[in-house]
Amino acid sequence: MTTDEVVSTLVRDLKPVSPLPAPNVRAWGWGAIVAVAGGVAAAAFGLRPDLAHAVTTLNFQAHTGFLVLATAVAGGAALLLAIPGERLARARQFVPMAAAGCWIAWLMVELASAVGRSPAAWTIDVGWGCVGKAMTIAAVPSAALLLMVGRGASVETRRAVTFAALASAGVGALGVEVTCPNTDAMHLLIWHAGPIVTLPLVAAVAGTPLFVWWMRQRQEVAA
Amino acid sequence: MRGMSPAQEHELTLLMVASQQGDCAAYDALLGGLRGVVSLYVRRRVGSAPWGEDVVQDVLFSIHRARHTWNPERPFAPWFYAVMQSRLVDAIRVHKRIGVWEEPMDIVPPVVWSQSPEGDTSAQADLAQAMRQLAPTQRLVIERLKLAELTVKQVAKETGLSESNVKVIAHRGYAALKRLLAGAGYDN
Repeated sequence: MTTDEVVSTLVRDLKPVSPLPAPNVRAWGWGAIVAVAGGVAAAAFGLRPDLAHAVTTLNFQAHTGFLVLATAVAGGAALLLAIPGERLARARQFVPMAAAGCWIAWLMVELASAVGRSPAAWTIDVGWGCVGKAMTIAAVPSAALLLMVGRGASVETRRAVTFAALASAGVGALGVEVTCPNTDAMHLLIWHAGPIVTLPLVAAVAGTPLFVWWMRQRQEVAA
Repeated sequence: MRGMSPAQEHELTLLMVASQQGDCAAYDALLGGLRGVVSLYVRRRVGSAPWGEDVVQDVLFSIHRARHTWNPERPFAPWFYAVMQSRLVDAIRVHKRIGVWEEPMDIVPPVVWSQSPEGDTSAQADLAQAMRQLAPTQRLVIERLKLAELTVKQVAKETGLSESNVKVIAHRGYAALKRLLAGAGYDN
């Protein structure tokens, strides 16, 4: 096929398109999905019985504050990176990682303080239930975010997918924060914060090729 | 870095707005304008690489597929250059990888599709000669499809190209082979 033929084919195939809304508008849309779908899932699991008291504690406020910041900025970054030519400010790239890092550091301080009071604080319980809960709560928002990123045409796919994974893990962590009554620092560190570290790493390594493959399948079906 | 004047960018922006609304004439003019910019950009970066024209076509396909992601309230050039650069970088990466595969292609491949026993040697030599004149990607794809008898899916997996790209490259390769063999005096 010559380039002239390619141009003719593309012109012949032209259909009107609606431009995607600006990334910040799409980010607000995703925020609404998180609020509704995540909220419904968290309510279905049942809010932790001490939630009314927990929200008044500094630890809970710090956890949720760092998580909301990490999740919101990572979600926005993923949607921004889905659009060719949009640049992510250097500072904005580090905010999600820094916020997640601050949350983990906060948990470590809590753990050190608990260990100072009782060496039993080192005990690691089995908290797979929290991981399952986080995955369930984050399922719809994660799928929505991946679809929204996929609607774009990212030229920085690895970064977009990694930020999407961080945002999804953040939604799950926020969900378990309001549904799990266990406040042991070790439990929080392993079972609540663990996925927020591992999921973006897995996404960066294995998720990107999968996402690229999925995008190609969609393009071929569309073609 | 930018090879587009402000006036040209303004004109292309207007054409892109009309193209998003389905105006075929504007789209034809847009692709015509962009084609020149892309060709120049690709030539400056990869010289006279035989796959340069493939990149130009790939960029035009990518622009077509991604045209809904450009926001008319945003400047057109950064969007366009990001798409173009991304396709060029991908093409360079693929051809670097394919470069490793291509080494054995300098050896005359065993021709398995010749049916007539007489005149085999000259037909094989002509075919091998025609194969050598193909673009490296076309040669690789045809060799993997016809000699190694792989499926399109397997070739796509091996080369990192999409299945539709493999089909397009193979189609162009067959057409080029046909032309070359016709030039050497073969009817079909």
